[in-house]
Amino acid sequence: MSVRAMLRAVLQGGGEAGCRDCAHFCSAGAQVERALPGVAILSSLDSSVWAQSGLCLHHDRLTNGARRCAGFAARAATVPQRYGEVTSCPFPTEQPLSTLAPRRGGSQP
Amino acid sequence: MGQSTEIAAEAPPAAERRTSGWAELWRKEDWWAIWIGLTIVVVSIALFEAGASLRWLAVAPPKWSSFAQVTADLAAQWPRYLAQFLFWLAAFSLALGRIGVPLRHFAPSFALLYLATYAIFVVGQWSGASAYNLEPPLLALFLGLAVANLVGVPGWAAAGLRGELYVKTGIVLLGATVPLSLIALAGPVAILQASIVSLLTFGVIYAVAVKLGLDRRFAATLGVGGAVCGVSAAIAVAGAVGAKKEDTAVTITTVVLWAIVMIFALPFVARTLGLPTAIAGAWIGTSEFADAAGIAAAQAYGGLAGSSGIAGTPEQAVQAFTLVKVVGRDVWIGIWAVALAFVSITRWEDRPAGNGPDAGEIWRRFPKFVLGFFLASATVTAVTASLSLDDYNKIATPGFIAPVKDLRTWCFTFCFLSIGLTTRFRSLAVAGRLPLIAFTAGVAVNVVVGYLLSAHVFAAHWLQLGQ
Repeated sequence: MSVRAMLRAVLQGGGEAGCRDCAHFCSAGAQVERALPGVAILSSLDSSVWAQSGLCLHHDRLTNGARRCAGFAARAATVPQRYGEVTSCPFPTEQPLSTLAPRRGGSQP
Repeated sequence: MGQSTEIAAEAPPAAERRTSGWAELWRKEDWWAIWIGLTIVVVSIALFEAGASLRWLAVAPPKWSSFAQVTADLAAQWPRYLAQFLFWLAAFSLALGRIGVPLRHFAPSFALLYLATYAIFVVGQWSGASAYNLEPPLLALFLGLAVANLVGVPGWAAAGLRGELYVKTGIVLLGATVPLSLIALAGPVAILQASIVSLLTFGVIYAVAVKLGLDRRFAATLGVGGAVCGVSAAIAVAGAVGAKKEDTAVTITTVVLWAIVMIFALPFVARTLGLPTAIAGAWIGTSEFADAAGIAAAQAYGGLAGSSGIAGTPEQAVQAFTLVKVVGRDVWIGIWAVALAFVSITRWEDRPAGNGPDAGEIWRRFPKFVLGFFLASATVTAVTASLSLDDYNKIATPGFIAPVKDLRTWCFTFCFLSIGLTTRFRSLAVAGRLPLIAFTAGVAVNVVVGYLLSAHVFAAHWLQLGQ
């Protein structure tokens, strides 16, 4: 593998085995910010530390998309994108936008 | 599943949708902070070498005791303020446009931010400001909080409130005022001090959270939020370990609330203890939770230098903070994320989402703007290598370093106002009692150990900073 190819692999991350192409994977900034109120106060979804993370709308969790789970469903080609990033999430019909706001006080043990 | 199969049939090859790795260079604000910051530094040096100066653009309100002085300055210098506004507007518009942020409302929003920053700057330059504790960073934050929570910020006006981009650009500019030799001398101690406190804080928060019965992924997200770099660390690790959305939201609320409390509390306690600026800066770097919040606290405390018996210089507070927080804590976020992802899939039960360890994340999550800080430092160090300390102070500082420093102050004030104006307490997720208890336990340990290391164990080291 050439140095250029290795650098590209490290910068890109994920791969065919990742779940960033899943219909349930949401990395669209506006929608993630709605799901995580206050995330832009002392951080940013356009920063390097956010990398290629996103929301898994199927499991209601954050994920780095490193691998696929049993619920993987390939995303449609018509999803709006910019620079290869999804700009609007294809919410499954059972996951309306109104459910994006977190419940009060976090999850219970 | 029928629907999923149908969608799969429409999907293009993954390679068609994947982002080019090189696109990171113009898609992430960390890189844009580097491009903007380094351009300013290089242009400042080039103009100086050509017999000119960036000073014309780096205009700032003068010290004043009569308001007539302010109006006179504005009447004489308005073309420079206008040029500076247009420069910032063009630079940040270019950056945000390439990142993919809609720019429709950015110009009017940024214009308001610039005017508010100018007003804060003017108040800070008043000769009586220190007597009334009107430290510009704290004033900007307080006013921003008051407007956001009592009046409200319309949606269009929020477009220019990009605190992270501004603080990162400011930190790159800060690199021009920190010689590489100082980073080499102070860096190892900064890393040692930060590592001790980070590991201890994470351990306490994680242990207490698990003891209270919280999910381990939630405990880890809370832990790094207190130990590493606040909200940024929390969202990075939440993605790596697959934390629940509502747990991440609660962590964000907890970190934001504590970070804002610490912006006011740490300078207040440091002042009460009469700490020199370098020691207070190191303490803030160890015990504050976010870069922007810490810069606000450190710059506010640095502003007290020379008054109220506070020893040291304003620069020492910001430099010590940056070394401990940015060099000592922030750069390790990728390693925390990968290590905890590995633990999450090997030691913790339940692996529902697509998270997992990915060694490439050590680099991808690396806060790249730190490279800009080092590059700016290296550039100025190389240019001034042949100068004596006396010549450095007489020639380099006024010639090309001071203008960069003044532009840095504008950037930081944009950031402080942005933090205040975007913090709407009612819109945050409600922090749960148990997460708050766990996080507060970590804060208590962090603050005490951070103080002991800064003011006693490594005090002599910090006091020599920049001497």
